[in-house]
Amino acid sequence: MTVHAALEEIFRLREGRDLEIDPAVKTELHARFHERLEQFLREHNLKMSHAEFLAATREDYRNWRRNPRT
Amino acid sequence: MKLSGMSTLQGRLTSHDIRAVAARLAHPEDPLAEWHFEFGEWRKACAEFQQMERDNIVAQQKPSALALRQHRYVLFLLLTHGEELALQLMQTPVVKESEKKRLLEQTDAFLGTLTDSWHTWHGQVLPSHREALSGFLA
Repeated sequence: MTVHAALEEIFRLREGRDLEIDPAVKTELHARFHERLEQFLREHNLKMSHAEFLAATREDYRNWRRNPRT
Repeated sequence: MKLSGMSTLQGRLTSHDIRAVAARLAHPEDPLAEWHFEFGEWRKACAEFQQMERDNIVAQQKPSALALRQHRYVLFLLLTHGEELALQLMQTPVVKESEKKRLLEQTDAFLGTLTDSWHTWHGQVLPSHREALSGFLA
């Protein structure tokens, strides 16, 4: 399955945030991830919360993490 | 996963306990010395949790029921301890408000990461949301 570039960007931001251990950097990455996700949902008029988006894309995120090129 | 054994050690202090005491005694002037030590330990546990999630959930085609329950169990432990740290920080009287705010934001970034993990791996998937996103997944 090919992931849309916008989703891939969100997945990358999320992975970077998840793996970061420096508290100051993580704080910044956490804010950036949720800002980008909010922007994506608004731009495409998608009526769902961030939590609902995360659940809905669970398998896509898993597949992307297993093979980031797809 | 073995849930018993190491922590009690016949009532003696663990190495973790001793390090926490040492942190407090090494910086007696710092009201947050022990808090910083606990925050550091919690962040290490969060990093180990990420490793566990990668190996047992992400890398698996279909994670086992046991792996998902272990994931949930550790997630709850980490969330609980993180919230305890946030409460301790808020209730420490002699620390500047700006410093509290900075440290709370950092704590919340880790808590937010854990909460996102909860929604991702244990949240309910609604078909209408999959449908709404289908154009981005094809």
